[in-house]
Amino acid sequence: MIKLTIINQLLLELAKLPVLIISFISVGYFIIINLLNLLLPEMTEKNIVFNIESSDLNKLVILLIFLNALTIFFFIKFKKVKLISVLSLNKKEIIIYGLTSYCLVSFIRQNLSLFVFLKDILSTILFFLIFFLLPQLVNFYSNFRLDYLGMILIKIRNDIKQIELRSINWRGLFIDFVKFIFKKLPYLIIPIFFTVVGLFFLRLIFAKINVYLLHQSFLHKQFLITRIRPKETIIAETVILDGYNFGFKENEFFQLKTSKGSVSGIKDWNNNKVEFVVPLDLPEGKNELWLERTKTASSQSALMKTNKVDLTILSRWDFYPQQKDYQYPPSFLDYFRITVKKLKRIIFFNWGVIQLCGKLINC
Amino acid sequence: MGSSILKKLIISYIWLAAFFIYQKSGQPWLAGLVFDPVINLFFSLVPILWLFSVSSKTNTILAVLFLTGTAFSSIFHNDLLAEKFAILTYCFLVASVLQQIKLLFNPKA
Repeated sequence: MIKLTIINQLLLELAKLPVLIISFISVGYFIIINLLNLLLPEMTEKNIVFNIESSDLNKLVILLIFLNALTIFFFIKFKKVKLISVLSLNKKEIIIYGLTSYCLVSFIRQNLSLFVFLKDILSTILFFLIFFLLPQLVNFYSNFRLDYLGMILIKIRNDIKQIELRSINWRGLFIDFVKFIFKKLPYLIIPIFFTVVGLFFLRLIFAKINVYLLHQSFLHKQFLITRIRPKETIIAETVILDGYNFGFKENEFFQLKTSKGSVSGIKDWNNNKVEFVVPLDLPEGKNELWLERTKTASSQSALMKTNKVDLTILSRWDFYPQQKDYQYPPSFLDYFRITVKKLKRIIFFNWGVIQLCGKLINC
Repeated sequence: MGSSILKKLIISYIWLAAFFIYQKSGQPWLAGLVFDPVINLFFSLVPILWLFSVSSKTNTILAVLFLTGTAFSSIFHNDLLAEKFAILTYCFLVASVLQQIKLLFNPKA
């Protein structure tokens, strides 16, 4: 059994700190990006730099799992930390650990190039491994005490004070010091390694943040459509375009264009939003839309165009009754057809709400 | 008490990261993906709210706060933000109502 000296304990505690910082910063960075993507959807545009590539993320996830597993292993080996049994957890924790493991395995699984059957076996093993690791990880970090570090430092200071300087054999001390360095080298490597990796991550994060800020300031200055709501609709329904620098319709050159000409039914036009009614002559299928405006209020000014966005037009008669549905005397089939179309209409225009309810029921 | 809250915060932190990582997986294992940002926000928050399960009153106060946010965002024509505030209002109201129902069936809890 390995006996832990105070310095060993301190080194182990210090080794915990860089892993905690690396994990916290990189995971926090990723959460912030995704929350911003949810709250500001224009960031999910194609050229966005902040959008982490799936392969990079995979490397990051594996690295973090490896670093944390390694640190936990060291602690279990040297400090005899008690393992947390899954059975001792409460119901809520078990479900959230299960969901978290599922999410992580789903992601790691996509990069495994194996047969489907083998993939499933490996995924199941990985699921249980992560499920077992998560409670240890949470326990490991929730028991982190900075005051404990301070306590050890005070103990070391007191030990040093007790040494009488006169009785020191300097040559022996030097040899002891060299011996100590060689003995403690494996322990020293851990904090050094994690500090270097931490610094690398910090540099990467700051570089990305700078590029992102530049990109965002560039986007906000552009005449740009960021979103179209809804992407699929039928004629004579209202559609909204969101974006930047649309201006306030100052002259007849501020126009919403489609491949079939300009759209006249504009309900609202302000700097960030254009609301319009889909024209009746727009053909079914995919249509391109863009905005045009003059650079200044003067009609002589240069004309500017936005990026093109797609709007899919569906057949109106899939949702509304046709003339032939109202025959006299009406048959049962006519009533049935009108009811089905009405139901389809309700579902189509309330799809977001229905989806949400469905997911809630499934949950 | 403090340790319990810290533990819950760490679990929420890991869950949020795992949920967003899951959104990046092209072909998820066994289930499908939801791409709607509002539903994503909702699903990322549900387990966290459930884990913390603070009192019904706190949830109602938060719901009222988010409702005010929704109203202000709508007044200032920020529909995008209003949408997000509305879904958060809904989340907290649902949590509050569920807790009240739970109390009805199990008054000792």
